[in-house]
Amino acid sequence: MSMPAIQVTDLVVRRGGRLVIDGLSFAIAPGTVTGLLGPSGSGKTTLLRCVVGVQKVCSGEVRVLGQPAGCAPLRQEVGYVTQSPNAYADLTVEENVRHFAALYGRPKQAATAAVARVGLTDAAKQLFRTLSGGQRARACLACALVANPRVLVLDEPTAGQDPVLRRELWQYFAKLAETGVTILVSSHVMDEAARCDRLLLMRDGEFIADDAPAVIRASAGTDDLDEAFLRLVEAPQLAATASLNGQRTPATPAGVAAGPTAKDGSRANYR
Amino acid sequence: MPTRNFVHVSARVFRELRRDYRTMTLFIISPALVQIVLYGMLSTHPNTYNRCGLIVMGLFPSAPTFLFAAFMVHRERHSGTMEHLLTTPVARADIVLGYIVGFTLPAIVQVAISFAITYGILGIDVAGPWWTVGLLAMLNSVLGVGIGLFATNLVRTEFQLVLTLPVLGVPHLSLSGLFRPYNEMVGWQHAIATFLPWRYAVGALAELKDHTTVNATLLFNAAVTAGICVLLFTVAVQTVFRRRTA
Amino acid sequence: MIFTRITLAIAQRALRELRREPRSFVFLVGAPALLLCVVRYVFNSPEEFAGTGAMMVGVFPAFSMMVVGSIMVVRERNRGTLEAVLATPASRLELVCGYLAAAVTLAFFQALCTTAVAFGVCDLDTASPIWLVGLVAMLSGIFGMSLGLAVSALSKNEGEASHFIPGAMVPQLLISGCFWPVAEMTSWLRTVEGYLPLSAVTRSMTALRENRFGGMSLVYSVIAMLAIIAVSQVGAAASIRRRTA
Repeated sequence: MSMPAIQVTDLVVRRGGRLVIDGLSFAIAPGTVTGLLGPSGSGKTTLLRCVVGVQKVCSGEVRVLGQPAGCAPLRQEVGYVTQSPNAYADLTVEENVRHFAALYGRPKQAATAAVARVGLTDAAKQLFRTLSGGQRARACLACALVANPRVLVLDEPTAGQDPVLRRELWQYFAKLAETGVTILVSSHVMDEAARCDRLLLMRDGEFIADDAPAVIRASAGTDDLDEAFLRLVEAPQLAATASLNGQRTPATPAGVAAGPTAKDGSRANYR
Repeated sequence: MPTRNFVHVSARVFRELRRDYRTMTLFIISPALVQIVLYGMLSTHPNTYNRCGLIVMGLFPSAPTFLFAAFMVHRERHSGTMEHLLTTPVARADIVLGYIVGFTLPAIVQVAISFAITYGILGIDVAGPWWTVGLLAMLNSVLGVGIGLFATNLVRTEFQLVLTLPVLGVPHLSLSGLFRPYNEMVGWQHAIATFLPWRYAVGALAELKDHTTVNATLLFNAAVTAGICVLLFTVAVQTVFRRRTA
Repeated sequence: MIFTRITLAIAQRALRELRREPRSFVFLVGAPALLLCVVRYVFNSPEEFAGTGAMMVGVFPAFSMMVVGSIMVVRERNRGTLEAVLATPASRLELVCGYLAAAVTLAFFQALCTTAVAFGVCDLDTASPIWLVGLVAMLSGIFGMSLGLAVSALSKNEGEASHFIPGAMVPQLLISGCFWPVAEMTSWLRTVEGYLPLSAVTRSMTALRENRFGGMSLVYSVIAMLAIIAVSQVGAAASIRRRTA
């Protein structure tokens, strides 16, 4: 691919003495929507924090837009939304987004536009702490969008949102990607995964699948991504117990990434 | 009435405190440090030193237990763990007693160290027996927990909680009798001081400077202090540890 | 102190948050004045009060601002907004200076209130003009905030930061001569007094009380305060970890 937007090489991260990520390598092409899926504890948030540059790394390299993750110039280009929506409780939505606009050097109009894009114009003058969980998540998204970033890193941005809103957000992400923004989104809601260009299925700090959603579905032999994930997780376990019992191992689904490899995500037209 | 269950609450509180090494270090060295400074300040006036040193020795444990109680309980009230605790079968009396024991247990270590330094190294000279001073010090640490729990009712954010420290602490200390004995206060100072918990704590301690045995004044002051504790904990059960909230 | 667009944005935000908590604002601006009144009446007469009172005009603002400053960074960290801000182009020094800039505004109102009460209600009398006393009181407030920010950057939570008050503030209050003249303390304590941060405040206030315009003693103390502010700011910024485990 042309220079990848995000390039991770041999990443090793330890948290609280536990090895969370062990030698992960991959690259993400610019202008794509990549979904990072997996159960909680798999290392999704840790990986996202590495890309943003707020995670202590044991070894390995993370480069975003050709520069080391977290360096000063990059902070102007990378937008980040944390897993639990955090903003200033005693400020209104508008004031929060305007504050982040000021930090990024963007005008007030950019703040108003960002608030409109996440559908919070009606609640713009409400105090952050009075918002519902879903509204808070959207307000924090507006704080990241106001930066007009080239790379957007989102940790479970649609948690607890209603389906109509979720669809609108994902349509917006697709539009952003068409303008060249690279989006890395984590989620544990599998059906949202269908809207990504490429899926990284993560478990215990490793990728058990790395491909377009259609390919993963096909290789796991099911249309339901939840089921596909389960099959991919259980396949090696089934193989292990079968070999212990001296039985012939069932065919493992093709397309399962054998160890971490860098693959170019294909833009399958499944939408 | 409290049962043996309070031990579980105390153990949890104590474990949480113990993990915080920096606070524990500060907590243990601060009274010793203050005593040393007092000695250095007042070494030319032994009479004043004996009085101030004695009162500070006995009163100081009240401050850190206040901080522990106020901040930890405030955090629990606002993070939902308090609500969670109140849905379990543990009786409220057990919860209150659990917190009291959990917060005052570390105070024993602090008191022991400050006593060792004040009596042993600095050589303070007071008439009353050290174990009486010790008992009063522990009573004051329990008082600190009560005031801390009460303070969590006055504030909404931790920001405001930390502001209450100087605002409540300085007037309380000024009119407690440390600087000028209660009996010498006049007018409105005297009136306000009558309602301050520390005035009774100091009153009890001051008696030990010149009297070798426990006398009526000391018992009266100690009893009022204990009574204030009971009052504060009753209020706490109704407010901090209320099962149904809006 | 660096004044960039980001520093001002952060200062604006901090002040706006405080405006939404009017109780806290009133507390903060009025607390030193209130405490001054309380202490005044521990003394029998204005003459006895004068020495301690003058010092308190500087110490109480410094103390209350330090108490507030000590939880500012901790609060941001625990709410998660610190991480969000650190992912923006804002540098750590700008963040810390933003808070200090907000403190300048607060310190102004606080000093106004404190000196008004000190000279009007508490019958304080100094050799220096009131406006100079107010100015130094304002600097003391900023000084306190700076020290508080340094403590805050080191603390894990608000409870831990609060223990600095009995642990670090109270000994300084005692040694710097607020309750007992420094001249009557033992020699080693007097030596220590010379090196304490709070002494910069007490010495400058005493200089104001004794000399018209304070003289060289005031100049030295003010320089010391400014130096300590600079060091605290840099220290606070440096101890905020951008990358955490």
